Amino acid sequence: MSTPALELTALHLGYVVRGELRTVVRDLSLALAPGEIGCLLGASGCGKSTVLRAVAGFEPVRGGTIRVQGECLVSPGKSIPPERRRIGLMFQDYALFPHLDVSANVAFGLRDLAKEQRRQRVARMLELVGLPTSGSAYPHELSGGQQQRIALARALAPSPRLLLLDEPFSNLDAGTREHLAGEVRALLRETGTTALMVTHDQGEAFAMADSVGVMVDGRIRQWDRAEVLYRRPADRAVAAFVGRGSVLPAAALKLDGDGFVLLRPEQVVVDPSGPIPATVVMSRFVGPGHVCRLRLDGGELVDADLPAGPVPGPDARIAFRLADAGPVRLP
Amino acid sequence: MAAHALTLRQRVRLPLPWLSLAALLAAVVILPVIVLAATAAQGSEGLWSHVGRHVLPQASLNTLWLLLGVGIVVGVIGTGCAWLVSAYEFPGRRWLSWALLLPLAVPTYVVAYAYLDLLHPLGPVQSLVRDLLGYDSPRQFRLPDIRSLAGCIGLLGLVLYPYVYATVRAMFATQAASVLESARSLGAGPVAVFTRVALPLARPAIAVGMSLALLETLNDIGASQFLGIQTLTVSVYTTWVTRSDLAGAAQIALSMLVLVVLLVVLERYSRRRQRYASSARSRPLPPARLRGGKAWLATALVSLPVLLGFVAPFAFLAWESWKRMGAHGIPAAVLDATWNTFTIAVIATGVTVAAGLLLAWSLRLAQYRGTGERFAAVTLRVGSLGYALPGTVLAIGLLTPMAWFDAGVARVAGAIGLDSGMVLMASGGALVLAYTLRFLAITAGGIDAGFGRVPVSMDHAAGSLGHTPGAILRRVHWPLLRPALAGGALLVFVDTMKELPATLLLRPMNFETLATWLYADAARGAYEDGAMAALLIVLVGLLPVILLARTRRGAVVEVPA
Repeated sequence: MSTPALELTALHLGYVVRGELRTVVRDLSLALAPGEIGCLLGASGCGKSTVLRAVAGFEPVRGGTIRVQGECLVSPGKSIPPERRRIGLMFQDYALFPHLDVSANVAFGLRDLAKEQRRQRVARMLELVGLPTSGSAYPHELSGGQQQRIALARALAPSPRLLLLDEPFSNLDAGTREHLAGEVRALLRETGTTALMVTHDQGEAFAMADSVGVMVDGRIRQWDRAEVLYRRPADRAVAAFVGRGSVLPAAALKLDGDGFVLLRPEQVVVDPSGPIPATVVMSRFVGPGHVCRLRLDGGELVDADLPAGPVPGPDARIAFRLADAGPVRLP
Repeated sequence: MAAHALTLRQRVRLPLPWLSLAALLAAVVILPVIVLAATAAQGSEGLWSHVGRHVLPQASLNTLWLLLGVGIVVGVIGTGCAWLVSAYEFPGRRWLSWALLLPLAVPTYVVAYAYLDLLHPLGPVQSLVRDLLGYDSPRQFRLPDIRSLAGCIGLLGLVLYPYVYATVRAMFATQAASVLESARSLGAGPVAVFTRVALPLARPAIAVGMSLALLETLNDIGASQFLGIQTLTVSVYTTWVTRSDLAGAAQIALSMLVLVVLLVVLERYSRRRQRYASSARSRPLPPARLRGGKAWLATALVSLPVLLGFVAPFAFLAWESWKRMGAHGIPAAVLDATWNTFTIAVIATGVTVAAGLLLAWSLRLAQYRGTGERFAAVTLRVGSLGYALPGTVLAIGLLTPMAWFDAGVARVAGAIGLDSGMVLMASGGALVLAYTLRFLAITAGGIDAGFGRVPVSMDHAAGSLGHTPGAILRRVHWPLLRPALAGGALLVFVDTMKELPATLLLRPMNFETLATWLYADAARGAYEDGAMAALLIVLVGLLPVILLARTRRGAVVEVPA
């Protein structure tokens, strides 16, 4: 295997309170192949942004190593300052410089280039993000989506070895977000940029990333492709965070064995001759179908997505079976 | 959360050089207080009892009465005017709403100086009253003497009410609308709206403005001395200057510190509550139109503080200066004092801006590096405490360490055969140091507030684009902070120029600023050329008032809380 573009080994992060270290991230390891887009997914406070800041150089590292393209940036007793890491950053608030116009913003990291080369590079980057004529505008004159693209152009202009994205789309409305996520992904592919992003939004993570790590309490619980995370979550925490679903004792669904299973809402198929009886607690029409909540006879609550059509009202008795790809057993 | 043992290296990985420098600066700010406590404790039993028996009780009583009176006056004038210009529309409202800030340009000792002359038994006002009433000698009729506690309260109130006015008006302007409209819609009349809703809503703002005004009252030396009120500040000065009793002066200064602490606690507490209140959505209050006699009554009421606190003294000083200039031109002594004032104010402003930048930037640097932020924040807060120290207290606290410093330098210089004399005391270095410590809160707070409007992510973006912290300061912070720096510099320049108590105690021999020159003139009871100095002080003092009126933010000083 070629050298990873980014390699974190046994990373420990935390802050010091009265001489004592409070660990925020413990023993975190991951590797991204060149050109790969990775994502850390987790609730706020799980430590994902701390990892990003540490890679960029804005967070003291308490243990472990950070390597980029084989070069060691951080190891015990050594830390290369942020300005020499050649790592691009994109923020939730874009952080465009309000006193500079778009061209000057994009040119900000290109101080080493000659003037003409710099001009060409800026023009090329603006073209790449689809805003070739915006050079003389000021950030406040642009829409949120446009500012986002300029921030991307600025981060990519010096050809960073790695791009870090911190909740990059969370300030945009849902429509723009989806559209832009696809565009940014295509752009990173085109430029062959390796990227690590963090988000709490599963849709954002799935739309952008090749592989996603679910973080809980400062640890990566599972690092996999999106589909695998959804179909085969490694534990209850991952199951609870990725997608909707209900975690139940296997016995409640009349399955063999002990332990718990994860039942996704689309795995519930209403069938009068199905083996599992339930009571409808509530149902709500959401367009393509209905979102229902059912109560099993043992008292467990189950979410179910039912296709359009007549849906029994509250307190109605129904029965269902499980779809072919059955529930996942959880450890 | 697990606790790891830290290696020494991890413990000390702070942005060391800058933060240490900032911490040193903060230590210098609290040095006078520590020295003061030590000096006071050294005072012999006999001295303490002299001060205790003869000076402290009367001076404390006077000071407490003065604080109480001024508090009531500034509270009533400031809140009343803020309410009238915010809630009602009447002739001249727009114009008056900023003119009400004008008395800020008049230092307490200048207003006292002007009114002593204006209201002198042989002065213009009393002569006019006698003419109108048909008397022809001051022996037959005279107004109550302005040289009294009541006179002092009135005069200080007239120039200090803008502290309350500005904070309360800002509060009404930004967040009173929806609450007051609900009150009206629930059937509350104008009086009930004011007493039951507006007043409780404004209480934190009133307290903040009042504590600032009272800190100024405590700081005042000129007005109370001209008017013959033996306050604590005046006692500190006379105990040191006329009795040369440093321990006694330190003891009185220490008792002033108790009052200072109370006022600062009041201010901080109220600011916290104010911040809580300001989380509400903001919308300006639409003023209700007053008609007929009521409208003119409002105009008259609101004009009164402007006329008495600014127009009358200003016109008097301008007229006196004009007469004097016509007769003798500008005296060399005034030119000299002007030059001295300007030079020392420019130097002090430069040093204070640099020191403020150091404090605020080392906090920013800690945030940028993700380490040491708590320590840097405490450093900034401690470094900003000087604004609360009255000038006399600060000066007395500085005398001893500066004498040590000068002695140390002299010993070193003596060893290599030079005579250094008193380096700090004789060069004006002592003055610059005192000004810097006292006004550091203005620049540090202003720059910190400026940084607050620039997200740290911007620094991170610049850093990831290859910029060192120094380059970030130059290419990102400097262009974005220039307004905050300029505003802070202007305020410090003007405050330095007006400063009297510390200047009196720490200036080099025969070094007169406009303020000390005016003071000496008034202390001699000679009101000849002082008017010109006073007029100059007021004119320069107008600059930040104009700035304040233009920004319309209403914050008098941005103190890091």
